Amino acid sequence: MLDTLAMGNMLSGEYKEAFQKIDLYGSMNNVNVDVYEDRMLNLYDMFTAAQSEEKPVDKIIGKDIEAFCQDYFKVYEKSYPIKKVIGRIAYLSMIMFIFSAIEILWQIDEGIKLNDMKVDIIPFLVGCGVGTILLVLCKLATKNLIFKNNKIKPMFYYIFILLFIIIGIVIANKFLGDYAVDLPLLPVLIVSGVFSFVYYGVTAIVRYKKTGTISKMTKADKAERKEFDKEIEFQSGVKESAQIMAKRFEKLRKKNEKKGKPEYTYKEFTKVIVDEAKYTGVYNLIMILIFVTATVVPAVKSCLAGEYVEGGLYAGIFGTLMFFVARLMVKSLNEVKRENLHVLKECEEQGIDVIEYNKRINESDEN
Amino acid sequence: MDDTQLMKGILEGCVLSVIARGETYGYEILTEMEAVGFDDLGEGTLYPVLTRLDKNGFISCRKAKSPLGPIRKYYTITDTGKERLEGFKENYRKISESTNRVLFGEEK
Repeated sequence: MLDTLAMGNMLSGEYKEAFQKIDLYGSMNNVNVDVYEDRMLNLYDMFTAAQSEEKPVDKIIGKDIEAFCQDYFKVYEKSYPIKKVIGRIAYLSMIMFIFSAIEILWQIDEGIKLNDMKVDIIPFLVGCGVGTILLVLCKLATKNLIFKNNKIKPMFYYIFILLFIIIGIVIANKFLGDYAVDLPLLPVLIVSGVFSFVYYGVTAIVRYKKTGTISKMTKADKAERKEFDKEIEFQSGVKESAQIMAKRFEKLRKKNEKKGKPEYTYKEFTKVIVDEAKYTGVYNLIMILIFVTATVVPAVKSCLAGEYVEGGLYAGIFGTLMFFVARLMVKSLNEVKRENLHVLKECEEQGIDVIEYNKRINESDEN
Repeated sequence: MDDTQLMKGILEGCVLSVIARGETYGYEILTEMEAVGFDDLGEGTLYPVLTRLDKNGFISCRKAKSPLGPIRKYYTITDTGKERLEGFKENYRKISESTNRVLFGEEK
């Protein structure tokens, strides 16, 4: 998924503001993901080029940003409503499949046999209902607030959506807690899985016949995109790391000052960061061990109790989930280490401390 | 009188003409068009034109990293596009001659 937040972070002034608003419009107006990513990548290139030449942003997007968004995200291909509907159902089926798989884990843990497992689909239907209302509210917010009110920051809208989802689920559970529609879990898992896999499989085959590739991007495009995503995330991460490190250093300095201790030097701070970076490998290993233990132990317990299918399913589903979680956490820790060390290196090369480095980045943003 | 329809008719040909000069990209096209007087041409108008030209096979597109870092689309005119451009130039010449005669009473 394209990290448009990181991309916006790399722009400054009116370009940053315009990019964030256009990004918000694209995400809140249900623009097709491929169209959205293509347009945002193109826009980022345009903005970067224009910003480097100090051209006013309205030379690129005109004076009416709302009209720009409406034109810019239009899709110029023929759309088939039935294809859209089937695509949505396939997407919801995929979600149902994932939830059913997780539900199997819970029920194995409770010692329920496969044939006796049931799933209550009311939370799923409530989720779809909340999602639909959310979509309508998002569109209204976009029309009436994003473009007419410059004081509300884009982050507010994302926080609003998150809060809405949480509150919606809590209210729905309160009122619908007693209602339940129980269906046999295994058939639900199979039907939702088969439907979504057949849909995505057929889509991939059709794409292959049209373009010679099952992926939406060619191998070369994928590699380029991967490199771009990595670079933009890194650069954005460096900015954030600089900010966090500057605050941390300032806090430690003030703490020492308050306690009447000798001044906390930048050299001492650098040593702390370097030491933390050294131990990243150890933290990663401990985390992986915890996840492996959490997967293997219950699976082995099930198998020793004679429940081989349940044990195997648990190991497969939970193991897959834990693999992705661990991978994400290891990646994040390694990225933070790389970004922190990069900030320290830049500070050393420029002969400044991290507070000055952070100040210079923010000054260039405001310009 | 709203000149939007007039612009729509000639924009594709003009953009195709810019691309025919050599491989180029969106921002450069905008800058060149602005330099010849299309001041109000923004990305919201240009991008759909480029998408249509690409879809109709008049231009081809390749993606590469730009000098400033972002992934950039570079456009080149195709043989079909060159034919299309020649056709457009001929039609434009004929129409503008007739229009000039009507509007400004020029001699035949």
